[in-house]
Amino acid sequence: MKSTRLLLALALSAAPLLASAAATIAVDRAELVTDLVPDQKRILKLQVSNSGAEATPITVYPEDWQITNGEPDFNNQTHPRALGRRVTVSPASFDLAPGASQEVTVVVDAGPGKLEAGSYWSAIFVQSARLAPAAPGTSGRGAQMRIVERIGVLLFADSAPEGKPLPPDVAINGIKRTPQGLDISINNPSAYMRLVSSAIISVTPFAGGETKKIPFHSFRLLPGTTSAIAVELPAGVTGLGRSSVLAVIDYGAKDLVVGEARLIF
Amino acid sequence: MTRHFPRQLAWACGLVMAAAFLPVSGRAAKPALRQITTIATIAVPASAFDLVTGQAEVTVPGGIVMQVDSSSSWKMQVRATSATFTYLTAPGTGKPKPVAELQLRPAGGGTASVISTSYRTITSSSKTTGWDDYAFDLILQVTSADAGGLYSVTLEFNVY
Repeated sequence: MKSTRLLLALALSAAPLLASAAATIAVDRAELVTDLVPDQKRILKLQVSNSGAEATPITVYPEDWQITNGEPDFNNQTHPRALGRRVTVSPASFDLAPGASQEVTVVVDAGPGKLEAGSYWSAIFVQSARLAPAAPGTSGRGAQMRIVERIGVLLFADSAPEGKPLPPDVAINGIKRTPQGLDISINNPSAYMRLVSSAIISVTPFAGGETKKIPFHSFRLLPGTTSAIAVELPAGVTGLGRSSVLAVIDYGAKDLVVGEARLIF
Repeated sequence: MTRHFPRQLAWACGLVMAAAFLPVSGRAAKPALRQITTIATIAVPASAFDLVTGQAEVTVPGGIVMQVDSSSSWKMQVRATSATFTYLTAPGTGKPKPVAELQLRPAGGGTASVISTSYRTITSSSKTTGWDDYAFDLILQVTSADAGGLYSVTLEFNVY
């Protein structure tokens, strides 16, 4: 009880020290995708907007990332398929007034030399460069955390892009229950990033009853990785008991990819 | 586990719903990040210290609040831009205080992430229904051997 009172007192004492402001940055794309041809440039556009109440300085820059455990890892930057050195952005810094937006041009210059077939990748980061000054008049012992924010737009460029329909090489490795829903393990063995444009889960209880269909949103499969895609289950699925689960995904191959599991809900 | 199923047959078997199959070019994605907190301060009163160990742990519930609006799946990560705090009011005194003595966790519970100069994923979601709040508790470890005064670090929140 004493510690609870202490925490409450500390929270209350800290509350007036929290400076608040609505610095808001948005981009119109989650990713940029193009091709990569030796000696050629590709020009891509990105819209950056500020829907906050205050003007904010913005910086835009490319940053390479590595793939670790099927996920982007922004801590380890160098690898043979890093795209960052071939990318320039313009303008790289600007001020955005409240409600204003700015178009940013991203130029991917493949440059000379041979390229391996497959995806090269980087990210374009849009960062709010405003840093709050130290809180004036603060005294005593304590710590201050100054917060900056940035949004990453993943950038992929395919050397020797694949023809459509895509090869039937993506596989669903497993479907398992998690506290929040389901994890779908999907392997993309190719050297290319693949976009799953749509997917659906069907849950059919063995005891009979209506099949529950759960569409889930598009997602990307990074090259040469197995990704765990988390699917939250809606109300009505819990309590179905032992059921047949079908996961169906569409990434642009001739056929759809289907995975099956028997799980208890 | 995997089977490849002809599209036409999938339709016939009722495996798919029309609305679920949108073309890739129709993907809408507008990740937006709103920084509600620009600076957070943790006050450490003398009464917070354990008199025997000389240590204190101070928690500020919901000390940092961010908002995300996204129509596609996203992750939020955090890192410190330096490995140690910078002393603001007592420069040059005491040993450098590592940022690893600061932790962040989703408000109300969840796993705490020790802050470092490497990005750690602190929350993620498939999408939001508008501007959704993401609040984080701040947890600071302090010892009486730390220099007094105020120390500072910059935290970088990353959404992709």
